Amino acid sequence: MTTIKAKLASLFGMAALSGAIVLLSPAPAQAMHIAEGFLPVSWALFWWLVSLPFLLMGLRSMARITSEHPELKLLLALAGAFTFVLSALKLPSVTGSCSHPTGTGLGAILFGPWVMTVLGSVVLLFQALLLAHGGLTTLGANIFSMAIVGPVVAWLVFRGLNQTGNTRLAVFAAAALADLATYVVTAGQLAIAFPAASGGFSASFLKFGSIFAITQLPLAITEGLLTVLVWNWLQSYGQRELTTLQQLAQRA
Amino acid sequence: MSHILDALAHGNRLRALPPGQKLAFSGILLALALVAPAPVQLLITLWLGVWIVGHAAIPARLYLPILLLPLGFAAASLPALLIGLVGSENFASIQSDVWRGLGQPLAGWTLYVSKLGINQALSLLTRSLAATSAMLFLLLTTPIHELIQVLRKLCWPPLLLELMVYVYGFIFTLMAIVEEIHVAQKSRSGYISWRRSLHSFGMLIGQLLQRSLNSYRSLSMGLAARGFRSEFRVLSVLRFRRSRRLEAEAVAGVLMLSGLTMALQA
Repeated sequence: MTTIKAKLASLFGMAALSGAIVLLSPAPAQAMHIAEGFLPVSWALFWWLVSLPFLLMGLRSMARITSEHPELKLLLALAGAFTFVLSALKLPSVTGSCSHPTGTGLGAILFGPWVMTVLGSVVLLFQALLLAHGGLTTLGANIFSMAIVGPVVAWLVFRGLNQTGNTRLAVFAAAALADLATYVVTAGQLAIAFPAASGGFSASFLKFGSIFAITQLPLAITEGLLTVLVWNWLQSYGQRELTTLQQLAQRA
Repeated sequence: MSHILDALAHGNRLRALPPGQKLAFSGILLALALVAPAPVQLLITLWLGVWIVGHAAIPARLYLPILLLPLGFAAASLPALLIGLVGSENFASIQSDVWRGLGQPLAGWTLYVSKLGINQALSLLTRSLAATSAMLFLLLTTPIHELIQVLRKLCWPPLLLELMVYVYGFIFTLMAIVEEIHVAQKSRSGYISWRRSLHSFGMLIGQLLQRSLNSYRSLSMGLAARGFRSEFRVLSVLRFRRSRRLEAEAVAGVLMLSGLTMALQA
């Protein structure tokens, strides 16, 4: 009986939260993906060069895991597809808006930051190729903010807070802070590329940052709560996968 | 959206061209779009419009909204680029950058529209348009699995490509699940009101997660039973046809545009 109640409660919570996400994501389209051609060529190249080593390291770590358990490649791919489909679901519901959850927090907690870097990059590539969100030249910059900084922040926060024993708080904080870190980095990337005439980088950073903060701060909180609910679902229905994954994440 | 773009990539009139050629063409134009001056960027946008709507026969009413999507992002960032805020005592020092200033300072701060910002915004718009059309050319004319075949020949990391193949496959499996659940929900009064649709959407996510895990379990069990230890390889039986006329147009156009770029920058 209690489990049914818990399930209903989490379902209701999910409904409320996804509603909040829909309501709170306002007009600015693609506020997180830097669109194709948006960055000058030097900065696009720079972010590619920064991201590539992380991507290669992630691939190595992933190759180690999947050589022992080849079927995990499928689980990783499924996680990637799930993230992608969630982000695609948003499109019809809000006109012109696609401020959707990044999902990097959950992925980093489940798979560790290195694997999530690879997975996130693949999802970003498909978002560019199948949805025309983001772009190929700006993929490097998007990978850095969403598939490197976000997961690393989530992983560190989760590791730090999980020791206190409150796993749900750790999951919430990890997902929300990963989101916030992503926005801060994106604002920073735009500010370096487009410094203001007065005040240069810092003035420009404040301007981009405040535009993002309005739209993304509530979103970060809702993403955190939504991730906790998904975590609860995993606890009740995917306990086996969860334990396997956590052992793997420790070794990766 | 995913379905539309993928369907167009499979059904357009340039489908039969070798994918390597299309990748190279859009790659070169993408690079050119990033470095070329604004007039060349506009030319690239127009020329690619001819390729996509004319040669590939993608309906313009489908192409235009996708092309203009990035402009939404640009529009959201425009205020940050255009509007400057400066302490009134420093207003004189940035006079050269002011295009229109707000007469009355607010609490010691003055708002103004920046000239540098206008230049940044304009160059950003043209670059964004040209680069987006180059990217769209690739994704509207070339199916992803053909692209992955080309990348395999270019020696991309095999694990990454393998993952891409699986993710691509699963996307359509999950999309199908979403559609099924959606139909089931609609037929049982889901999404009938705003509040109801929020509830339905929450249920959809939870169910999707569960179904994903289930399908992973049955798939991995089936594979384990068959001794799966390495990777899936799919036999490609596609035959591509080159087109002399289009190759000539592509090469001539690229040469002309690069010549124009150099002439304008010299």
